[in-house]
This record gives sequence, C-alpha cells and structure tokens, in this order.
Amino acid sequence: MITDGEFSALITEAAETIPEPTAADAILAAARVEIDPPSVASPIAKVRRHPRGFAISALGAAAVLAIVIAVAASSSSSPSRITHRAPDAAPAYGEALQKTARVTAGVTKNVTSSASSTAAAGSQDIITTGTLSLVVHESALGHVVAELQAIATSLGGYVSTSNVALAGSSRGGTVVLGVPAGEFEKAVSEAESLGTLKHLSTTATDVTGQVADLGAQVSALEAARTQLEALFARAGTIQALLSVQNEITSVQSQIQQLQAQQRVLANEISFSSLTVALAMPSATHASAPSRFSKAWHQAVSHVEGGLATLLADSGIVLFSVVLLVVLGLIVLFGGRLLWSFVRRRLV
Amino acid sequence: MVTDTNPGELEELLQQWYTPAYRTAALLLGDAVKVDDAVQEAFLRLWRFRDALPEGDGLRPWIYRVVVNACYSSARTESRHAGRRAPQDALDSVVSSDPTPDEIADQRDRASLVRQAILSLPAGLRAPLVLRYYAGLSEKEIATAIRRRPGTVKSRLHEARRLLAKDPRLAHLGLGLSSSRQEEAK
Repeated sequence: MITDGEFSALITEAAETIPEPTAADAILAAARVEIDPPSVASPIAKVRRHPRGFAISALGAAAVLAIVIAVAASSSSSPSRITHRAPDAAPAYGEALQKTARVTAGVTKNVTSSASSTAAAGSQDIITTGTLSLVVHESALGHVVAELQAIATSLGGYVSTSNVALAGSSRGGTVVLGVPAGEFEKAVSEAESLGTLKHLSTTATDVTGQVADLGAQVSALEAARTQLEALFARAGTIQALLSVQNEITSVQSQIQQLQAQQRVLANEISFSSLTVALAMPSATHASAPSRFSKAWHQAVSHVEGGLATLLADSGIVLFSVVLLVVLGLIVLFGGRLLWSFVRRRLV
Repeated sequence: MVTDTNPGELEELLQQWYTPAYRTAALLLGDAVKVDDAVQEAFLRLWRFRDALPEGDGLRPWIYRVVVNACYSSARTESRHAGRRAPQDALDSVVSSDPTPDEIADQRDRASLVRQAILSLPAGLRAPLVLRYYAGLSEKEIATAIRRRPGTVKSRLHEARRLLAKDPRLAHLGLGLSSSRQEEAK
C-alpha cells in the first residue's frame, strides 16, 4: 500500500528527473543581447524555426533601422516640438546693442551673440544671458539685494542664486536672476539703476537648430516606438516578445532623455539669466590722488630714500663731516646775526 | 500598453514558472518538441492576458490552467497532423510513450517507469493526476485548472491511481490503493 504523500513524492521524483529546461534562460539571454543573437542551444534554434518568429525578428530589425535613418534624415529638416518660443528675446538683443552706444567713460559693455542678424526676425529660439557689475555703497548693500529680488519677482522671474556678504571685510557678492526672456532688458535697466554700473555684458545664443534637432529626434523615436508596440502585439514567440520589449524599453529611455533636454532648453529660452555682481567703493573705486599730491608724495619718498641710501653708503665718518659742516654754518650765520645786532646797539 | 508595464515582469514570470510548467507539460505530453511549443504558447497567452490574471494564491491554478490548455491544444494539433509528421522516434523525446523492451531494460529506474506509466494513462486522467501529485494543487484548484467540477476531479484522480496500481511496470512499487480508498472504490 502507498499513501497520498508517498505517491506524491513518487510523481514529483519522476518529474524532477526531467532535465532542467534551458529554454527560458536561453530565451532571456538571447533577448537581452539583440533581436538576432548568435547561434545558441537547441531550444532557441527551435524557436527560430518558427516562421512567425522570423517575421517578427525581421520586422523588429527593420524598425530599429528605420529609427536610425529617420533620426539622421530629420535632424536638419523637421520642425521644432518645443512650443514655447522666445520672440521677445530678439528685441532684447537689439536693445542691448543700442545700449552699447550709451557707454559711459570707464564702463565696459560687451554684447556678444551667435544669433547674428537673424535674431531680428523674431522667429528664432534665443538664449539670452547677461552679467552686470555694480558698485554700491556699503550701507545700501542689503537694500540693493532686496531690490534685485523685488525686480525679479515683479517681472515674473525668480532669484536663482544669491551669494552676498553683508558684513565683514569682503562685503559684496553675486545675485543671479532668472527673468522671462521678454523682460530681460527691463531687468537690466532696473538693476543697473541700483548702483554705479562698472560692466555690462550680454550674450544671445541662437539655439533654433538645436531645438529643431531635438524635436526631430523625439518625433522619429516616438514613431519607432509606435511601430514596435504594434510588433509587440503580434509577437508569436517569447523570444520575439522579449526582443521587441527590450527595443521598446531602449527607445522609451532615449525619448525620455531627449525630452529632458528639451525641457532644459525650453526653460533657458523662456527665462534669461542675469548675473549681478555687487562690490563696495573701497574695494574697487578708491579715490584717485591729484597730480600735485602724487608729485609731493613722490618727492618726499625720494628724499627719504636718498638720505637712507647716503647714510647706509657713507657710514659714520661722512655723516659726522656733514653734521660738522651744518653746525659750522649755523654758528657762522648765528654769529653774524649776533654781531649785526650788537653793532646796531653800539652805534 | 507595453510601456506601462515593468520591463522585468515577463522575465520574473518565466523564471518563477517556466520549470514547473515545463515539467508538467513533459509529464502530460512526453514529446520534447510538443512540450517546448506548448510551454511557449502558454507563456505567450499568460503574458497577453496578464492583466486578467488573479493575484496571490489564485494565480497558481490559472497558470496551470493555461499550461494544461496549451498541452491539450498541442496534443490536438498533433493528432490532426499525425499522418504528416515525422515518426515519433525521429523526434527528441523526453520520454517515449511506447518504449521497447530494450529501452525498458535500460531505464530500470523508478522515475522513468513512473513517467512512462503516467503517459500511458488516458489524457483526461493525466492532467488531474499531475496537477495533484506534482504541482500540489488541491482538488478545488484542479477543478479551476481543468474546468471541471471538484467531484469530477476526485473521481478522475481515483481512476488514475487505480490504473497506475494495475500497471505492470509499477507493480513492484506497491501502488495499490490504501484500505480506505479500496472501500470507497467498492
């Protein structure tokens, strides 16, 4: 007689003597490598003999090829998919150019651009950045920082970085504002009124091509993903299913990376960055001495230097001779003055 | 939507269930080519209808249900194309359902004999037996897996054991029914 448990053990033993199937591992390994892996063990070979498996693998390979061709072909021709453009960046750039004409003595203003004259067309994607150096009185430093923050907020922007020392020997620092591209010029003008402008530099970079490239790549990859999803629904073997799934995962990852780049670029286009460097008058603007004062200080310095040199080079003998001569002259002139005084009294 | 799923979900499914599913199919079908086809087909069905699969304890009978159905499909296809297929001995077989005396002499181990005996059972009895004694499913779970009433499952299990007990290849193993079951059978 045999119990249920013993019978179960008997059947289980019979089942477990069946060799461990390798097909699952082989299928997974093949799918991880590529759609058409090198020849492997027989389970995979059997899978490959399946005509639908062949068809799916071939379609998968064609889809991947289509992605590559589409991305390469569309990089220069497809339209941008970034919806937010910055047409106002061009006027800002133009006004910045006009600002160059208002340069005052001692103030440097640089305007550089890769946008060239096409920026004026107003249909470009422009990234505008600027650097402003201001000299402010130390008592007004805190107020200026608060004002800069107010300027950014009132224009719909924000303070992205603020690193300012309000006390101590190294008072001053940097405040970086992010302002809407259309308000960049206004932000510059309001910020420069908060102190004495020492330096202004603005840069406008045309990224229209970059935006178009990213948009084209995302479009091509999305189209490829759609095709792969259709293939996935028709996959006839596990190997084909896994292969197409891996391709979809890979394409999806590429799409997400490109979309992240698009978001960063769109933000840079929408918001211009204005860096305001703040410094104290004592540190950067010491009062300039007059020419007479300079000459006097030079003369004194030279006399002191000459005496020191004479003393050092002649030694005690020469110094004593000079001292005796000086004393002799004093006695001579003093004696003559005394004799003149006495003679007048006697006469 | 494909992209809404965990990319490793299918891998996990395969790693957890492929071996028991393969061995169940091997006990039900015997032929290596048919087993491969049936298990692949089963996992494709499982993957496509994964959203409809129950979770937790309810998953196991459903996995086996799909495997058993795929085995039945494979067996039906085989019977339709039997005249056009290569002879059985030309294929890679896990076990032969009709071994020669020489093969029996070579395969004296118990496991091999048990497998051969199972394969000699009628198809309708094989599935409950394998699911009960190899997969460890309860009678209720087997009823779900083969879409039969629990009472039917119970009687098929009994019949399967009775036939195995009578199988001369297993006579030396003493597979006779226990006393309580003998009474039930009477």
